[in-house]
Amino acid sequence: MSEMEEIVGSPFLNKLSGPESRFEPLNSGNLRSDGRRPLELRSFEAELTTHPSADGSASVSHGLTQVTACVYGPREAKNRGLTMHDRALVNVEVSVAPWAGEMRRLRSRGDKRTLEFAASIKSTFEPVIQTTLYARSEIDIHIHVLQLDGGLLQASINATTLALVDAGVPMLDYVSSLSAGLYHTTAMLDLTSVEESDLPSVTVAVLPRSGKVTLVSMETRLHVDRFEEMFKLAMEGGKVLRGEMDRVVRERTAALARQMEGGVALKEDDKMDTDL
Amino acid sequence: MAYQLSKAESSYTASGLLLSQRLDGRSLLDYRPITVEAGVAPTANGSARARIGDTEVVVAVKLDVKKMGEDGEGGRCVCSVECSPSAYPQLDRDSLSDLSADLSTLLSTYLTPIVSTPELLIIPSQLYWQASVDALVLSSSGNVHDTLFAAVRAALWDLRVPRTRGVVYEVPGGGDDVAMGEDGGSSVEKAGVLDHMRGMKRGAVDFDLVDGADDGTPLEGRSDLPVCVTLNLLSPVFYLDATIPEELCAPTRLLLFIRPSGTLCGIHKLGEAELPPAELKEALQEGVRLGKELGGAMNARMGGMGGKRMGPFS
Repeated sequence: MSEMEEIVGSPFLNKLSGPESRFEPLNSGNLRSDGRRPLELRSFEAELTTHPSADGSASVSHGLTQVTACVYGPREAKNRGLTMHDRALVNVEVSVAPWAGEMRRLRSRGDKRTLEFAASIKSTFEPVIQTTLYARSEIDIHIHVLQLDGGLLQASINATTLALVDAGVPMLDYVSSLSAGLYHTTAMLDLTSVEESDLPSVTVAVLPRSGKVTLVSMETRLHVDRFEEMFKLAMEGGKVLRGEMDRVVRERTAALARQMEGGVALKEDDKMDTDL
Repeated sequence: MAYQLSKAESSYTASGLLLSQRLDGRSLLDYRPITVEAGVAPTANGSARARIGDTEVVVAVKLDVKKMGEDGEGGRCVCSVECSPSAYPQLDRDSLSDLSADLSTLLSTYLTPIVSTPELLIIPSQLYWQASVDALVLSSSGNVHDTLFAAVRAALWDLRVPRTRGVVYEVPGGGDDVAMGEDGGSSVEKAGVLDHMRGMKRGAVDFDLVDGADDGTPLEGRSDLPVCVTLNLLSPVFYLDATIPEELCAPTRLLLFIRPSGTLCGIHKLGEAELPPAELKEALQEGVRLGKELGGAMNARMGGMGGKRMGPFS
């Protein structure tokens, strides 16, 4: 601990990320570059059944990051060679729109970074989805990133959770995910892309009910003493997000139930009000 | 396309169409509800989401400053279309990228001459805005072409070109303006900005963004941007806005690109069947009339709603 404080308090580090540097993640009023407090999340919006033909779909936005997830299945596998006799196969495909970031960037289907994201999302959900109920079948998850301002992984995971719920795929719990960063000794939640490029950050996905963690992803260096604080805050934040996601699911289900009682089928005009 | 239609289903759909009966109760020349929403991508200079029935396409246009090549031609645009696997769940990876490539080629063929306007020039024969038009097909239930071009049209309608002004440099003491660059560093450092020229960009060597011009200027000819109308020809009838089974019944499909002023600026034929010229003439006349109507309706809606949101119309 003492060593850590020494490093944090060293003039060298202050020069790197102190008030002299161009970007100030936290100003003297304890506010971040977009005016948030360190532990404040960006506005979270979620909507279910946004895609007309998928079995389940959801669109999630954290501030300016917007992600849509579509779930197909459980269904017969396209490639039978890959199916497993005792559980379902989970496929994840991620595509990032060329206009999503600051600069236009065309990503091919085999883009390494995108494949890595897909792999971490797959491993996040494999233990949570009750795949053993659907032997020899396949669950496809397609993720579209329409806007990108940091927090790609957290938004994708939250969107996927909601899409899976919308598709009626049995899961052990919601998976809610949040990123956290550290500036000097202050932890902050839900980083934007500017903050992500400047600060050490970690993305955590939790099962809020049991408190279990299914994903921890960190690609930057950080002193081990500081990790626990960030990690715990990200977990706490994840539990808050779970409440929001649950509210969206309940609203949607209540609306569906009302329509069933009234004998009115799901009509275009109902969808118009919400999504267009 | 890997989507298959059984013989029975195909003949049922086709005989219905020949009797002017469609499965969803529309008449042959009716569109499904069209919804267009502009300004969906805040990081782009222009963007829109269009939906016809259950077919949905998102398009964003970004502008980048580019140096002109040796040919001196400017204002080019680059296009890409990506078909998402959720739009075509029956297709594998390779056929998806083939389809995406087809649509990209089609888009750039018909869009490049339209977008290459002098408004995108910053400094003639030196710098221009390159428009990158990127589309994402999110879901498809027939008539992807019309939806794609409706979205592109709305994104170009939403496009705002940043206002710029030319800048020239003057060497103190020297009487004439000297272009910076070859003269070496010292003279450039001493040179002051002589003039911010508005409109007169001939002698400009650099440009400046005009302050407070977050909004920029919309494209001048945006109300005359073409719409795409796909005519599905099943001799002797033709029908618009086909669903997937209806598309599979049509031996020939004609894409017509029509400006609301009534001129035809492109025809593209899909399908392997041959087409008698007499039939083509009738189809074209009707197509142009419908295209004018559709373009006019779009203009009225987008103008009326301040270019932001547009409800369904047919």
